[in-house]
Amino acid sequence: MHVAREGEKQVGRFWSLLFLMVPVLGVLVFVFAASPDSKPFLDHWLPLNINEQGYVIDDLFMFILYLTGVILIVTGVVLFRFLWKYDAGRNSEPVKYVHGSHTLEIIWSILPAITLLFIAIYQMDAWAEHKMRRPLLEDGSLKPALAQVTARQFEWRIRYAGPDEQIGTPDDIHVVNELHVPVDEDVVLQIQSEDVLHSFFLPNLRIKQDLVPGMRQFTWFHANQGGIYDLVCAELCGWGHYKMRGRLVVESREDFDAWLSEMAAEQERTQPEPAADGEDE
Amino acid sequence: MRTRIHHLRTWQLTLLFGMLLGVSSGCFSPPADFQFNWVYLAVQEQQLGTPDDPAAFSDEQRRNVAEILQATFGTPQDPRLPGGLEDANPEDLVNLYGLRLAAGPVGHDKVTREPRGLYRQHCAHCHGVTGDGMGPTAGFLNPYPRDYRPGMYKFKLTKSTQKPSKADLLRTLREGIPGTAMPSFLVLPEDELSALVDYVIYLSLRGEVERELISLLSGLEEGALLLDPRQKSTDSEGYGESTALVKESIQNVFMSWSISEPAVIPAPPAWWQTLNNEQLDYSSAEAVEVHDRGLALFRGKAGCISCHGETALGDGNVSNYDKWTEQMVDAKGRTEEDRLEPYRTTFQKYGALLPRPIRPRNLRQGVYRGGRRPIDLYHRISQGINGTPMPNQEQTLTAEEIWSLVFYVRSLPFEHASRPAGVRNLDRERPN
Repeated sequence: MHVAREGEKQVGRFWSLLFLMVPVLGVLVFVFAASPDSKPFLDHWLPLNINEQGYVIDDLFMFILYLTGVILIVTGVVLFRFLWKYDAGRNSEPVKYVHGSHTLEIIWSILPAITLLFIAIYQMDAWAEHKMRRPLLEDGSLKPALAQVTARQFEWRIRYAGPDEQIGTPDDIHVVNELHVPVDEDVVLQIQSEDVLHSFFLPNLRIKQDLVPGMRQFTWFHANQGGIYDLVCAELCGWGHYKMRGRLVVESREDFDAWLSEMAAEQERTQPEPAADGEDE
Repeated sequence: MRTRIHHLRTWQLTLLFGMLLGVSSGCFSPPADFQFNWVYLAVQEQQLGTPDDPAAFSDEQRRNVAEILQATFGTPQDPRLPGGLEDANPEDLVNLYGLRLAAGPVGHDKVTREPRGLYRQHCAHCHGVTGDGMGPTAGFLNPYPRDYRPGMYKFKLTKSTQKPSKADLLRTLREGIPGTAMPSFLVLPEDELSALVDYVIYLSLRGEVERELISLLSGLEEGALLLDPRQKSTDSEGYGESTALVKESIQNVFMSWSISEPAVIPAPPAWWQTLNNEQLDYSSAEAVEVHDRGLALFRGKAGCISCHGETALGDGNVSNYDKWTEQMVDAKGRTEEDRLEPYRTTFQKYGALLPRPIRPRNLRQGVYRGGRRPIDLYHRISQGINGTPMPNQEQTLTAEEIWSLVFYVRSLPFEHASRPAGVRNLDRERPN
């Protein structure tokens, strides 16, 4: 009410309102994005999780989101309160010089330190689940990789171990940009890069691992829902980064085996396809 | 307070000006255009005169060729196919619908939401708007991207020097070319892939017609135009003859695409099926026998070692040039700089990429550009690789011999390149 009358002085309080919009809009964006049928934000929340262990990542994400969200709101509101209260146009008192508060400094150093330490410990389980607890075979040995996925500018070259379950032998099956895996099974993949930094990203499985050339890594998951999902590169790897997408096909064991033997037969093809097919599928 | 507001205004004005500048530079950039084939023009000039004293076609002649070309094939925004050819129907070869999806700037049709500009979205930054293999990223790549204009393609299942089938080009798009910068476009929808194939063929047809027209210039009197509109009224008979000549060149190019047929691939001999199964063991007696047969051919009759080297590491003759670049180098030059002299003096100024010798494949890496299937490898050996020094051996080798070679080549990635005598001792057991 005062604001409207005072001409130029309103600018100060107007800016404090703008600052208030940061926590308000920040919260609204997340609320809209997370509610299932808010139109413009539709499908802008996390993609469907089909990995048994994926909840670990999601829980960690949500925990950190709530934590940082609360801090965002508190700091945003405090900032607004100070801007509003100490607007130059409404305060004639001279500025008081304050040297500082030792107690306050200790509080705002120790509180974040404890929080960060808590996150560091809280996330260890998620880290172990995705980086250390590789699935085992019945005899207790490490489960071998189903396939080797090699990222290169700008595609995914995939090499299935084949019947002998060993990569690098004549019975390997080579495909490109199409990763098929069986559903309801532990799947281990060996992932690597041929040229530059890439990142192996399966959003629906909550798997994202940077690939460093020369470094051989393993990743694993347990998909529990069939379908066709994205396989993308999540590290800007060059001018064709946007081209670097493939398909993840999660299917039943029978379908997977049938597909793999079809690919193996195609790889051994010695005669042209029958002309009647025209352009093949 | 007043100064603060004043600053705010300056700042806003700067922003506004910057935005306007950005918008206007987008609006006034010229539409993409096909580039003229200067390199081929210069080659023809050299052939008509001598390399040291080349003939010179006039700007008017060149513009005349470009005009005929534009009238026949349109522009990158509005591609067109020639009509009125007697023995060929261009639309059998190139689907007009596909052409529409692939041509023009990247975007969507306002009404149908069909994609537009697929070629520029996926291909042009390497292969160039003209399909000359000289897009902005081309110079960073080794090997360079394919120049479609001569209409030569390496990886196909048609006969030796014939054109590829649409299925061949589609396969290259889906599988990519391992060992090169050509990635796989497998996840693109079917109709977009076949639209791209149509557009690539269109660019080839256009490039080949351009070359034909440029070579027709050599047969003309000095300075005469290929199709002179002024002649139309003064000498209608002569004009009719010129028109027929141009039409014939266009038609020949279209015909060459319609007569390609798949090469014959004889079924492999009985031992192929026995050996190539899940239990394939390259150290078994039967496998060693075929392997040694292949090795003997590799080193002897088939002559593979001259380029691929004794150990198949691709270290034989490494100073050959392929058909796309050989016109820009002097193959007889003794040093590399000697060989590159024609490029430096003539072709470099036309923006042509620095010619590089073609590397014979290292067969021990297990990376097969044209595909790893036996049918692909058989084809590469039997029909050769178009545009490269890899020769057609259909007449010199029997089917059985080629299959032995295929078997041998497929075994190479799983074999040590050499077993020096001293190393053999490592296999021995430790004495008790």
